[in-house]
Amino acid sequence: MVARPGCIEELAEIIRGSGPFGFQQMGLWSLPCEAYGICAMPQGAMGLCIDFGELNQMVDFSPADLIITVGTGTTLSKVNQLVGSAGLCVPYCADYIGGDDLTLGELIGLNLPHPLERQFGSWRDWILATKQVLADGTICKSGAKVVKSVAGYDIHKLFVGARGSFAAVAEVTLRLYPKQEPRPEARNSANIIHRVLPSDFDAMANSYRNAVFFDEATATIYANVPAFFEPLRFERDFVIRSGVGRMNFQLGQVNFLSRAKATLDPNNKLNPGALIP
Amino acid sequence: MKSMSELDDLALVLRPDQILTGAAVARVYDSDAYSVDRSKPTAVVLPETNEEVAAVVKVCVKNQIPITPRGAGTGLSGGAMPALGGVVVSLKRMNKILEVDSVNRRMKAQAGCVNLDLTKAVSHLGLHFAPDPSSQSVSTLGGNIAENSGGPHTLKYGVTAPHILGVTFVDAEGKIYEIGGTAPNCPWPDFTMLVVGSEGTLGIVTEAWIKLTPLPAAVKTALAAFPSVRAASEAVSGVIGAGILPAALEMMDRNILVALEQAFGLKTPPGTEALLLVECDGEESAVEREMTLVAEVCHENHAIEFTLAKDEAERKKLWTARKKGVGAMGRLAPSIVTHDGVIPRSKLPEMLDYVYAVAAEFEIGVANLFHAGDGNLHPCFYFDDRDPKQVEAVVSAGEKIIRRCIELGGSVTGEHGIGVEKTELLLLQFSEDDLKLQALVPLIFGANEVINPCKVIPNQKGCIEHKKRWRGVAW
Repeated sequence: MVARPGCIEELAEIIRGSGPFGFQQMGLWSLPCEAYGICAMPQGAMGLCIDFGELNQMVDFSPADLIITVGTGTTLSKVNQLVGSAGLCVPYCADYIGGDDLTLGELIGLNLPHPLERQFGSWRDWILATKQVLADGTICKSGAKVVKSVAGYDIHKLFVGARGSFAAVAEVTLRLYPKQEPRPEARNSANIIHRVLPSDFDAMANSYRNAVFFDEATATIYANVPAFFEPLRFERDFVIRSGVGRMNFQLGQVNFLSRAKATLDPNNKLNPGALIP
Repeated sequence: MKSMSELDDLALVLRPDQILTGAAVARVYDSDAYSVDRSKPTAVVLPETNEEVAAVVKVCVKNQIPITPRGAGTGLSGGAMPALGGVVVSLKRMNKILEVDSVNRRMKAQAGCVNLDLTKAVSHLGLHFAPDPSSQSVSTLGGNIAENSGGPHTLKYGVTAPHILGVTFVDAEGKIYEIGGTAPNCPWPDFTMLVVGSEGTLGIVTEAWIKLTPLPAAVKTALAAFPSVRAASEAVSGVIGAGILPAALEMMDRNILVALEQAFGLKTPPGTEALLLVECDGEESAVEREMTLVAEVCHENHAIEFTLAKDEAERKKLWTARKKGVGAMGRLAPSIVTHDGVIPRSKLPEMLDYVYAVAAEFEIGVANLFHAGDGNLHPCFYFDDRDPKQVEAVVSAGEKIIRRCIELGGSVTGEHGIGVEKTELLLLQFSEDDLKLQALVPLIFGANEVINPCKVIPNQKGCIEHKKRWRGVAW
């Protein structure tokens, strides 16, 4: 079953009144997200997918302050079209993970590396505030709609990369940057992303035959590999694979991830299994 | 408050020279640099290893003795003030740099290392630790992490959080964890981001992997003098609006300039009401281009004078004046309280008008030196804290200004933290439901009532009745 809330209050109503479900943040089964495991309905489980496609309103845009607040169902291309008229952009490059028709909710939930990271950082650097629905249906916000704030704990940053497991983020405030020259379009999406410490970059680079993009600036390789490929691992590296879902999402800090899940979603309602197997 | 006998267990885990007690110690450690509220500790301990910190935490938890972690005590919101007495855990003896990994541009250091010493240790490699709070010559890495400290160069380089790759963390039960520390920007939720800025309420950070940033190839620093604060504020909006991202963009008003001229001989042309300190860094040609644009914007906004620092010595002198500015205000009055509200930077002109109106209404002196590019205000009220009426006026004026920041869509604090100073003010920014989410964070880390109580979250059990006691002689 799929629900398509039109506003955050409807989203809260759905979450309050239902059991376990997965999030589908835009459209049904849009491939990269399914592949990376963001819509992680347990196989055979009865549940509900939430499509965030209608949560695509621009709440506030202040070009002079380089800030936008927007629904997480908005695609990256639409956001960049909106802010582009003021000479601004969200400098995320989604070329190697399926293009910029992914929504902000999907991109933030996945937090995959990208080729402009050395210059501009990534989602954790850009997210200033969020508005979300908690597992018990409470609507609340975190952060502030200004470029600098240390008021309270930065729990909105914990939602980055959480694959919808901690809360249903409906609205996000992002800092913006001057518009960039368009990059040549990528020919291929990658199905594996591997980042190492810079000292290991050459050794890693030599271990891939089918790299789509070598990003020496962040010591990252985007590649297309066969399903049986086992990457050569390095100290303190991380690997994210597409195409085989959550089982290949390498975990960090399992202790704290489990504690956070138990605290924020004690009944395991939100995207069960997407983050912690 | 616990008596000494209940602290005897500490002697089992630390040497005598690591445990300080007595009236002088209690007086020195009864506040940080936010001195309006004070509360005496029973003892101060100086652990030297992760294991000693963990052992101290275990002793305190067993005996239900409150713990307050502390770095150099330069915090500006009372985060290191021992609100319910008990033990202050000073990290000052944990001041070693453990590993420099220049190839991977990272360094592991203990929490008691002084901020500036981190940069000094790697400047010969062409690297530095970018967060540079004005207190950087004394404030510690652990304190910077606790407060998620900012500084003038935050505008381009960000606050402390993006420069912390991982931490060694002693939780509220005395267990030691390594958090983060992988290759940068891991895709999964990064708990380092929650520890940074948690004001020592989740546990104690004892070590950190920090990111080292290359020193810029070229740096240019300029001073622009303006006939009004409004003109300077509009120049700030103009610079940002033109798509320029200076390394720093700082404003100083007339009252602070009086103190700076007396303290550092900083001269300004006649008719100057506000000064902008602008720094651009990066590749030489880009710096040249950016500074030319900045000068154009300043002139368009009626700058009286625009002067480039002619050499490194002059540049350093300008920064000394800026960073020691609050200290120089000691010439104006015996006490200073610096507020820290943030507004969208486009609202700067109207907000500064409001700050002056509030100061006039409460008949107290105010000077402004602040991070204009971030919209992070620092109205510094100068007064005499021996006069209860003046203290009351300063607190009321501060609250009025913070209230206005929130009305304009801003935040109660940009870089000084909540501490004990702003717990009630947080209610202006966050609803009951927002605070419900905030209150879940300590649970994730298994924090308890012993670890730095009465900070960040408002209306904590057992804290409200102590508020009057903290205010001490003044109230």
